[in-house]
Amino acid sequence: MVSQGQGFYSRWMPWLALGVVIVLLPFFVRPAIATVIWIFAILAVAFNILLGYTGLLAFGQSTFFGLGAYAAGLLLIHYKVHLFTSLLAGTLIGLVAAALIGRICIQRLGLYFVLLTFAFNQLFFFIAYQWNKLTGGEDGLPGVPRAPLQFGSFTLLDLSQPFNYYFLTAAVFLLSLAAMKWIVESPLGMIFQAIRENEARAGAIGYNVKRYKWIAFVIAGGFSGLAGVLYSMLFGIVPLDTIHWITSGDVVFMALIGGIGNFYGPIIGAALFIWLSESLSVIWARWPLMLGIAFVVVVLFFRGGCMEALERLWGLGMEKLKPGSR
Amino acid sequence: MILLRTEKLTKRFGELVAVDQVNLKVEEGRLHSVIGPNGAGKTTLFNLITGELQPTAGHIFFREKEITGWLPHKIPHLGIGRSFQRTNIFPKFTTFDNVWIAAFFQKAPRGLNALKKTATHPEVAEKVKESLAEVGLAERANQRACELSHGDQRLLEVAIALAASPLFLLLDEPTSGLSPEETRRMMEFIKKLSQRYTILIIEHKMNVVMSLSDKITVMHFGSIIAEGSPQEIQADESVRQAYLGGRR
Repeated sequence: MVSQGQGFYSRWMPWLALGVVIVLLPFFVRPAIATVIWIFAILAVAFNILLGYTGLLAFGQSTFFGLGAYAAGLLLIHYKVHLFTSLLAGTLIGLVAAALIGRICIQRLGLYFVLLTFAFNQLFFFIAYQWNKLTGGEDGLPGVPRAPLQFGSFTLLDLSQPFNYYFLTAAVFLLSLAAMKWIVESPLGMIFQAIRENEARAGAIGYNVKRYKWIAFVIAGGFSGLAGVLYSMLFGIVPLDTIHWITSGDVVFMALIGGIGNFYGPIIGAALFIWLSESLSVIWARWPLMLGIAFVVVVLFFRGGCMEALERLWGLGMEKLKPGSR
Repeated sequence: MILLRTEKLTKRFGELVAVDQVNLKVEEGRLHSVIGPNGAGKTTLFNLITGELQPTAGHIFFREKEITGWLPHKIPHLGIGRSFQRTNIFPKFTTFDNVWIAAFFQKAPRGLNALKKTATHPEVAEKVKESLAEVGLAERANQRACELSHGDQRLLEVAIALAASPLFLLLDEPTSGLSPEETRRMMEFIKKLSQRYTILIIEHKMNVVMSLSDKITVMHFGSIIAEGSPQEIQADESVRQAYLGGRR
């Protein structure tokens, strides 16, 4: 919002909290899981630019996540490219794929838009599934090496160490988050929100609504591709699931659980989702049932997701603390 | 000089001819009203001009440039601003932001400008303050639009149109749903606007139209049945017929 100047406190508090969590998280969960959390946080926040800011329910974000992962995986396996090259390549393929697919999807509104994104997701899934030679098909693409973080012959960080890879991922996450924050707070982000609020009016003012939807789609695709690169190197394999529609669904779920009305909400959603799925799936095979219940609760009572729940709790706490409010 | 001109403009919805061979001429600097009973095709005519609907036949010219078939988002580039019959704002935005988004389009929408920090566009904020002051909503700048009274929302609607610095304003029933007091306020405001803008206005309320307009066009069943000054329209027999006999 342009008119509401943010206070220093509310502006930097989330970043401070994130910094603390990033440092402490690997002591509570396995570094690999902690890494997955930040990877999916990138995906979920990027998706929220579409759903929360522009009002576009894209049900196919794993298309770009998967393409980024496969592209980086193949480059790393066959050409042993530099770390930055792989990150750049994954982002680029996400951008290009989203540019092409988005061009078609944004022609339709509502449910038809949702189904088109889903259809393209399926299309790319089956390409990955069938093209055994290139992608390894059902078995996934194995043997993706982690490129070291090096400049010339100087190696800054040996990424084969789980902790080092974790911190690289966290750093990429923070940079992506800052970039996306910049975007949603710029006039471009205002235009996205205007489209969400009232598409016809935004058009009547003179904005080319389709073009701006497309821009949002491309931005989200780029960040999803970037997240895919980090994922491909994490376990040294690109599983076919990476590009499966269920992954797209997970991303939607994370954003909704976390809260799409808030920039940071989807991060909480991603963390909760990954953490729950990791800890619950070991002890209970039917754990997705929990997710279903959580989803119903969110839709019925907390449309703003965890962020809204937190804000309400915070509000209640503040009430209690106020003098004379017995 | 004629700012807007339509030539045998026609819109059919199946069997229904909503706008039937309408030749409308709006002269620069005038306040021109289109009146007519419900279903006369007034709003359809507006939607044709602003590109929301595509005409079945006929032509539209703005400053003698043909704009027939232009898409809605292209029309504002010509300097045509519109307000809507049903309040059409960005409900969750603040009043300020509602207008800001329109002012930004006019001032600096292209290219990387959209990625510069919002605060680096002081000229936009200036324009917003100007537009809000013009409609008298300056004190409500930080209130959310959905929390404004209906009358204030109607004014905001006009402020959004003004923020784009138009040459030509299309106002679709600006007084719809307003109380008599609010209507009076809106009329005064439109009178003020008419000194600076060419305005085409759709209105139901006769008293509003008669006291404001330089010229009135009366539509009935899609066609123009009369045109002239308020005095001429008041004396016109076919208009009286349409209004008294046309009510259902």
